This record gives sequence, structure tokens and C-alpha cells, in this order.
Amino acid sequence: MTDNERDIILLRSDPHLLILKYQETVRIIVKKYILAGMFKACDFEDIVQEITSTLLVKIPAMQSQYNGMSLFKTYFSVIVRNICVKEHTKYKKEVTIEQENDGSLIDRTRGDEKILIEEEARRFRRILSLYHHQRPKLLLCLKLHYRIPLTNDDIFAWYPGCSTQDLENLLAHFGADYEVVDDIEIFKTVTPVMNRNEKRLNSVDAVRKWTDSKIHEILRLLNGNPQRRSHNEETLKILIDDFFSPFLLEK
Amino acid sequence: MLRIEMMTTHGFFGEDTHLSEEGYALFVDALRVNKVHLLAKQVLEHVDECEKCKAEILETLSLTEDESCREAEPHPYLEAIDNQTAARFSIAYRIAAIFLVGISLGVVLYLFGFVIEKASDPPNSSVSSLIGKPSIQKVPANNDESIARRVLVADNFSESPNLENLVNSVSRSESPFKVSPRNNEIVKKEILFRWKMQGVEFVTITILSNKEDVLKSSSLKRSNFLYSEKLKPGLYYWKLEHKDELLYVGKFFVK
Repeated sequence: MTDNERDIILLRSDPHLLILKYQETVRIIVKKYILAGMFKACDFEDIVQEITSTLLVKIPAMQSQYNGMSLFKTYFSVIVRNICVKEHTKYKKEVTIEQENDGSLIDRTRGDEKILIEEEARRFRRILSLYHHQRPKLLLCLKLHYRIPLTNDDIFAWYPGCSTQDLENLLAHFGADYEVVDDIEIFKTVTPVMNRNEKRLNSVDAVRKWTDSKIHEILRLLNGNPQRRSHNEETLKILIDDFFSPFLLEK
Repeated sequence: MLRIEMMTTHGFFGEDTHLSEEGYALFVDALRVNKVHLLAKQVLEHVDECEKCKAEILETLSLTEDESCREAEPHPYLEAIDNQTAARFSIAYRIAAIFLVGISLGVVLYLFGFVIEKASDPPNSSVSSLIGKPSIQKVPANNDESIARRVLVADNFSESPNLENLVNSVSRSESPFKVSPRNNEIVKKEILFRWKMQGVEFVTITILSNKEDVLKSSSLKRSNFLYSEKLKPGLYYWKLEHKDELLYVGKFFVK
């Protein structure tokens, strides 16, 4: 019998024992939110007690709503997180992350710049993995926005049926350095090809706005909810450069 | 017992049209084992467009990233979907393989049958044109020359439609009189044609091949005629005429 199967049996037969079993998970999550600034460190035990009390009240709801499709431990973490967010709203206590004047992402509570950047790069990759159908188009538009040269693979991943003429045209414009080309010119070239791929009649402005909206969405996701980071388009470029050239940050 | 619903969206979405708590948990599980593609299409499409759900998933993922011990266990939902998909592909591949083998076998049999038919066909079209009547059957041959010879021989025995009708009509209409050779008689080297007819002083005898080629024609006052020229095996006709009147048409064989 797997651990997950034991958890499911406990949820039905002895949910209080299950809550006790997962006390360590509750403590780990609360510690992370203290580090993130949602709670004060001195309120740790109170927060853990509050969350445990809430969990005991939620047992009937958990028993009726959990249907075994996910791992119980993951489902439990979602429940605890939601309780923490509500508790945070109740307490409204934050610890702001100090920032260097140059806008870097150093968190003084961690003290290890390289680890932090690697964590952010990993977080950025996770964000990209949440985009399923839109991902090829998003990656192409991110490259265009940050003037990163396009490759054949970029174009065919986004538009598998791209004609030779369109391919050659895109590579001629964006296959090499195009730093001096402005956004409007870029999207004037890309939009007709995009419309052929999507069988739509998007305007140049609509495509540019879509790209901007996705960049801002990525920034909000990077910064977290509640916000714990202060990413901007410049720091995003670092992460994007790292994504497309994984060894860049090691130089 | 918990009921696991495969490949449905039931239980993935809450009342607010966003993912439910279990929906978020499942998405996080899928991300951690790189099996997001196994999730229901509606879930993927919703998360694709929904920033709120992306944020929830991201936060839960960051909370659970230290818990790697559970990844060794089979996932209750994702493993089942993966196995189901693999089984479907396996069945599909098997069906495709059977179909392909069937087509290949069909092609091979067709080609094989075509080769056999080609071998049994006559060597050239001119030989087949020598065969007149449908009643003459093709004789299977061992080689091309034998086939040609047999076809030619058989052709010599084919009936002439015009003369055949005259044979039957005249013999029916006329009063009986003795003739030799009788119809369908097989004759050998020399042929003595004889007849006995009243009220006719002279007749014209004509000997024809089955192709209606005139081999001999003579006007006689007597009632017999000796034909001593060598005839090839085959069917032949002879007729007796008095002026423009056809008196008799007969047929015989030479073998």
C-alpha cells in the first residue's frame, strides 16, 4: 500500500490522526510564508495553531471534496496555503524585502545571490510551463520583444506549416541582430504571418498589446501573490536570456 | 471507495469556474512529474488563459517543491491515464500493423496472380484472332508454338455460319436424294463426290473451305466428281448448283 493510499484511508477513518500526521507540512508552509513576509516570525506558533484549528473544521468538506485524483499531500498543501492566505488577510503583516539601488533581486534574508538567481530562473521556467497552447507563440513574442535572434526551430514550433517564403522573410528580418528595429516594424512583419497561422485578422497593434499583456502577466506571476519579489522588464530579460542560453548566467 | 474519474473535468473546476483545490493539486502533481500533457484539455485551456489559476498553481508548487519522496510512488490519476493512453496507442499500432500486413499480402497476391495470368495468356494477339467461333475452345499449351499450332488446327474446324445454315436449310427443304460423302463424314485422301438427282442435266460442284474459300468448282453432266488434291485437316463444304439454283450443300471433315 502506498503512502497516498494510507492517507486516503485515514481521511475516511481517522481524519484527526491525518491532521496530526501532516503537522510538519503545516509548519514548513508557515515558515515559508514567514520568510516571504506574510507573517512575523514571532507569530509562528499562533499561526500554526490557527491553521490546525481551521483544518479540523474543514474535515467534512475535505472528505466530500477530495476524490483521489491528486496526491493527498499536494491537496493538503493547497488547503493549508488557502488558509494561510486568509490568515494573512486577517493579520496584514508584511516584511518588505530590501532591494539594492540597482534593482537586483538580492534578498538579505537569504544571503546567496547565485542561489536566488537560480531559484528565480527555475520559477520563470515553471511559469512558462503553465502556458500550454500559447507557449510557442509566447516564446516567439518574448524573443521579438527582447530582440533575441529567431531560429528555424522557434518559427516551426510556433507555425509548423510556415511557408518557405515566410520563413525566409522572418529569418531575414529577425534571424540576426535587430536591436535597432522598433516594435512597430517588428510586429508589422510578424502580424501577417501570425494571421496566416491562426487564420485570424489581428491588427499589428493587437499583437503588440498581446505581447505586452503576457509580459506583465509573467512579471506578476514572478513577483508572487502576495507579492514577495520586485521583478521588472530588465530583470525579466536576464531570466529570458538565461532561458534561451542556459549557461549565460554562469559567465 | 473513492471513484477515480478518468479523462473528465468533473472535480477539476470549482463553482467560481476556476480550478478547484484538487484541480490545483493535480496540476502541481503533473508539473512535478512532467505529465501536464495528460491533463484534460479543458484544464489546460483554462490555465493557459487564467492568470489567477497560474498564480495558485505556482504558489502551491513552490510550497511543495521540497517534497520529492512522493514522486517515487505511482500517481493515482496520472499513471492510470498514462497506461490508458499507452494501451490505446498499443492497440492503434497493432491495428495499423495488421492493416499494413493485410495490404502487403493483398498486393503480393495480386502481383502473383497477375504473373500467373500473364504466363497462361497467348503469346500474341494475332493468334487469338484466328479463332472464329466461340465454340472453339482454347487448348492449354505447354509452349507458345504448340499453342499457335493448336489454335490454327482448331480454327480449320470452325463452322462457317453462312454455309452451316445452308446445310441445314437445303437438306430440310429438298426431297431426299442420295449423296456422298454424307454430312459430317470424315474422309481421307481422295474424295469421291456422288449424287443422284432427278430432272437435272448438269450441275456445278463447288468445294469450299470452312472460311468459304473456293477450293474447286466444276460444271458436270455426270453425277460424280473425284477430288484428289490433298486437303488439310479441317471442315469443308461442297455444294451443287444448277444454273442459279442451289440444289445441295454438304459438309465433311478431313483428318
